[in-house]
Amino acid sequence: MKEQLLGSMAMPGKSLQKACRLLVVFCALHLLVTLFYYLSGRDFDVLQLFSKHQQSQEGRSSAPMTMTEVAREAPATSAAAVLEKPARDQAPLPEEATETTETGPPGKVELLPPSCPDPSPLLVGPLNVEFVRPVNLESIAKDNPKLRKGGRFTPEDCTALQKVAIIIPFRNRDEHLRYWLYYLHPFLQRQQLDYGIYVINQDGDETFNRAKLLNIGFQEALKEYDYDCFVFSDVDLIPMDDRNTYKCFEQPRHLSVSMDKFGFSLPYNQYFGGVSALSKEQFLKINGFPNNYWGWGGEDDDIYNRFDRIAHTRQTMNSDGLNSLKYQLLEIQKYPLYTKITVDIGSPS
Amino acid sequence: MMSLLPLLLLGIVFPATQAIQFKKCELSQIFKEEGMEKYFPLPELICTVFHISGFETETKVNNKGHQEYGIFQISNNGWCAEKEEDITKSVCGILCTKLLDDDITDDIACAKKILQLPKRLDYWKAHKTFCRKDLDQWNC
Repeated sequence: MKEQLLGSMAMPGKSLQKACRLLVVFCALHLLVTLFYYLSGRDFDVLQLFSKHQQSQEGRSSAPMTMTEVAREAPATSAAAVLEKPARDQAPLPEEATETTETGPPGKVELLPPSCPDPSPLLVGPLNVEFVRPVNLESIAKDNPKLRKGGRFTPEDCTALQKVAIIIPFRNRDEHLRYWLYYLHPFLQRQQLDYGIYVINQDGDETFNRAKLLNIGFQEALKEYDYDCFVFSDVDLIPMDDRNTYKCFEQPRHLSVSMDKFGFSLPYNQYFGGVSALSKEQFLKINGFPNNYWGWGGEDDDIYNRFDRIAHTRQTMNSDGLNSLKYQLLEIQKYPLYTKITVDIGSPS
Repeated sequence: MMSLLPLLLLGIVFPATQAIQFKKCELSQIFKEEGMEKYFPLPELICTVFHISGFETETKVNNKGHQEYGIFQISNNGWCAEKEEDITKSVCGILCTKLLDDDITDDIACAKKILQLPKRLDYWKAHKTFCRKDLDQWNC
């Protein structure tokens, strides 16, 4: 009897042990696979096969990539410890520091090529955007040989639909800027736009004034070329699909409606931040942005009565804007990938 | 094999102790459960909280020399206390840093106290600026 009992009790114990062992093996396997995928995100030569399918420049329109969620910018800034100053990447030649006004692509005045098609045939759709692998300005310049000094590009085979100045308000975000340039130059070239990149750098430690920098960008870009469209972009926003054309439309357009950091839905209905497009006429009609709306940059910035200021900008539109814009131009630097305009914008009055 | 168990448990527990960013309807539900609706209409509350802290429990902002803490951005300017000995002098009777943890029952209790004072939700400037119309977007 006892032996029988022992016999019948040993059976379930054995199969339970076996099941547990299988489970442990499965979990170990799972962990190994996870580790493998983690490592393949790093820069190991063995796994370059996978990384070849990453972001490609114009022309190489393979099957559209599957969209992956874009990492928040917080982990991105911890990826690379040192923020390089542009001066170290590319030594700007002093004699080329200032550029005379452009007249457009040379030698094509008589026979204008046909208008570029809308939409562009070079678009690939969803893009694979990540901020783990470091990027550097030299390799970006190498990957984009058709760019002219100051981050200018004009399509050769057709006449661009619009002349677009991309204005980026900036201060001490060099790493973000590098990623921005890495993704946006191929993106904008695929959209066959006649564009230029203008980074408006606020000098000094005073509260960041995004709106005033955008006004300055508008004015300074127009001194160089007769842009008819202005795209205002934060330095830390990358589009995830190149069918989101960075040009102007019949009404001012909000180009960053779905952002990963807001769960791909608008954080609130009135939100117009991030990336927006206004034509020259539209911008002039609203007298640009308010100069006196200071503050708003994040947890570390000093807030200066920000909510009161927002509430009043509708009333002050006619007196506070382009027509009252005052600033001191400190430096214009023409780098291969962008024009950096450093300004002193004063302080909150 | 068994010696790995505590390590495994630690691996599960660790992510659970980081800061919370609530979703709109998550926070709405918590406010309902905590009886916030008796103090102020919910859509205006949710809208205001969104604009001041983005529903993040760890939000800490410097505003004209004073620090504001947590999901309700309670200021150390008499509303919460920086030091133990000042706790009884503060309106909410709480240490400011306690407003940064995952448990928002103390944040809610403090907000309730403020909502009973004369200016009510207008103590938070965002209310007047952002949250007086177009409130449907804050329903759940």
